[in-house]
Amino acid sequence: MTDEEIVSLYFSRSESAIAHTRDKYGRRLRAVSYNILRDLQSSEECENDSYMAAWGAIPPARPANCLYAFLARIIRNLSLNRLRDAKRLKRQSELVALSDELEELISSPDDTECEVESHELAALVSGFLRALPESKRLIFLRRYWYTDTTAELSERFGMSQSNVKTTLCRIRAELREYLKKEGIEL
Amino acid sequence: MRGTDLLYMLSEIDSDLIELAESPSAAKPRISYIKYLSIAACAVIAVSAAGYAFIRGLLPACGNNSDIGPQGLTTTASEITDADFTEPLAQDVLPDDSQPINPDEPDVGDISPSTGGAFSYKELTEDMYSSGKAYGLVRLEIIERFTPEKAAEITGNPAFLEPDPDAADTDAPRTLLSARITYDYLNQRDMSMEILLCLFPGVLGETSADEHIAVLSDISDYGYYIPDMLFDVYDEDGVDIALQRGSKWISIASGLDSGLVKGDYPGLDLEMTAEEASVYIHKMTVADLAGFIREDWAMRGIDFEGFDLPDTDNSEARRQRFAYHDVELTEYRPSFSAEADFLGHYDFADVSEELLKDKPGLRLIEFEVSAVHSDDEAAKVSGRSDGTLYTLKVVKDFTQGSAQDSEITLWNYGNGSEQYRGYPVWAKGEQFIAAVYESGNGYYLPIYELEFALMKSPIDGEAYAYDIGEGPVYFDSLGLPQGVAEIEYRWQTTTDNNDRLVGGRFKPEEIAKAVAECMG
Repeated sequence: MTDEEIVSLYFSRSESAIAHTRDKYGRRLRAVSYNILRDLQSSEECENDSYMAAWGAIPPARPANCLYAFLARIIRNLSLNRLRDAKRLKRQSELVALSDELEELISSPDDTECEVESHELAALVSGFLRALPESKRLIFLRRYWYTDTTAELSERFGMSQSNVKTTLCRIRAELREYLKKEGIEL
Repeated sequence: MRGTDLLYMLSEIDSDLIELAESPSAAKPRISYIKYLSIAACAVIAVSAAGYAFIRGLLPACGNNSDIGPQGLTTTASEITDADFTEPLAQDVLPDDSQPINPDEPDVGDISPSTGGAFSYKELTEDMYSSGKAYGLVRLEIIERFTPEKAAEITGNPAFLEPDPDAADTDAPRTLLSARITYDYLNQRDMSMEILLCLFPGVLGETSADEHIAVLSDISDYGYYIPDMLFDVYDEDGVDIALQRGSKWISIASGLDSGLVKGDYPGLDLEMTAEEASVYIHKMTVADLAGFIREDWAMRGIDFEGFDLPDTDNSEARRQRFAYHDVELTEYRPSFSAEADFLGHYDFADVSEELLKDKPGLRLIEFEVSAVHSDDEAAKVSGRSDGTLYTLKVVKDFTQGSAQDSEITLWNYGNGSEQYRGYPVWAKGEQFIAAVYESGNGYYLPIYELEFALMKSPIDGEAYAYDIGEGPVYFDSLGLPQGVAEIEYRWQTTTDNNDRLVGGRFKPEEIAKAVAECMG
């Protein structure tokens, strides 16, 4: 079944939409969640929550051409929420490490709300990533979107962990400069 | 705004990018450990043989003999390494804009045989991988050139009195110089540290440069360094220029041609006059040279931030000469607090035979510091003024069976005024696992690479052994040496201004068992 047909089922409020979504994307979505949570049961729960969230969001949303990415964003955020609220210290420390790395992009980290709209920032970051060499782009996305550990990146890309960290560090520095040039001071 | 907010905002990245990264095509396959080692061994043997033979004058200085000349051997090594030896350097994620930088590069076959060191840049970086040694890139000024007699007296090495037996083309002996390191380029810090340098015949023979840039690694048993690379430094219209000598050396630019990383230094080479070219093979600004090497090593994952000059306690003559004036002291302010920050990665240390050989009474023990003796007492017992004497309560002996509640005396570097190499005094009540051996003078000495502080992790409250060694060889999951492991934890010691970075954490029983097994 195509994404468009599945989305049509959502629009017609047919509950089979969820079954078809699970059949087509369930495994991949669980993988996204599991990568963040490292816990099978929790990732399955997040998967189910994602279908419910999608049920609530479609309509009005119509992600006919990007249903997987649409669902992946949902499950990613749900998984991050769950991780943030969890008390599993070791995995949570990964979240802290990730946050700390990204905080390098922020000139004065504090608890005030960001004045930049999420979609605006995401569009700029997307543009930045498109201009990167593919390997760097993938490293960045695997680290900060899929939350791979540096050890996993090292295996995946055949680099030493130090090299991974150095590469990420350089990309963050470039991104910060890029955003600055674009008038975004985080 | 916090980093966590950004993490959430990144969810909105374009859909195609998300899908693209979901299952990126597999990275470069990593060659097997055995294959890697075989290739590495061949390469290292080849380049080492070439380097050794050349520096000793066994090979012709000029590259005219294309079969056995230095260039020829180097090419052979390069061909071997093309079989993937450099593959782990992740060239696909690094800028690879290398071009022949100087097509008019002087013909190395017409150049003076002066070398200055045992390595080309390419060989040097390969050696880093194979040895895991700590390297430094320093600027130094020559203080004094010693007579052969004085050199032999200072070092205890009679080789300074005789022509170098392997140097076929000269009857000159090697030379000993004292030098002051004035800057550490890798850590970007000023320094004032006196060292001894040993140079082989021909090196620096005709230079008028007072300053040099050198790559240094291990100190010899005689207490001097033999530079792994050496550059002369001159001022040219207010710009510091580094000139590289040599014929056998692959210059940095040539190294780039053979696949090394160029980084962001397109202007590495400057123009050179024909006269200069007869002595030097490359010319570059010091800023470019240091920047290139620093970035290149960083990109290769070579951890140099903890670089310090290696221990020199194997040269009593040297100690007497410099009386430890080379030690950079920091203010002593007692303030103990132990803490560790979790960063999520650790490796096991290598315990090589080299580390353990000639160590009488070697033991691996868990102990608690039960007394810290005065500096005067330490000096009286050990005859040295740069360390502290401790009484240790041995809690466990992993190599000689249980020895609970026994006490031993141990001397270790560092006291209130001599925080040598960042070794400050331990505090009473601190607990460690360490390999120790008998000094022969009634007290024990630690093996500095095998010291582990026992502390509770702030993450899970469990007690771990935190490696406070000075840079042992670490191995990654494939067993390949990676240099010093990633810094994970900061150990706040008895001083609040001289803390130590530790290289990893281990379950105490696990690391003790692993080390004890290596110790036999």
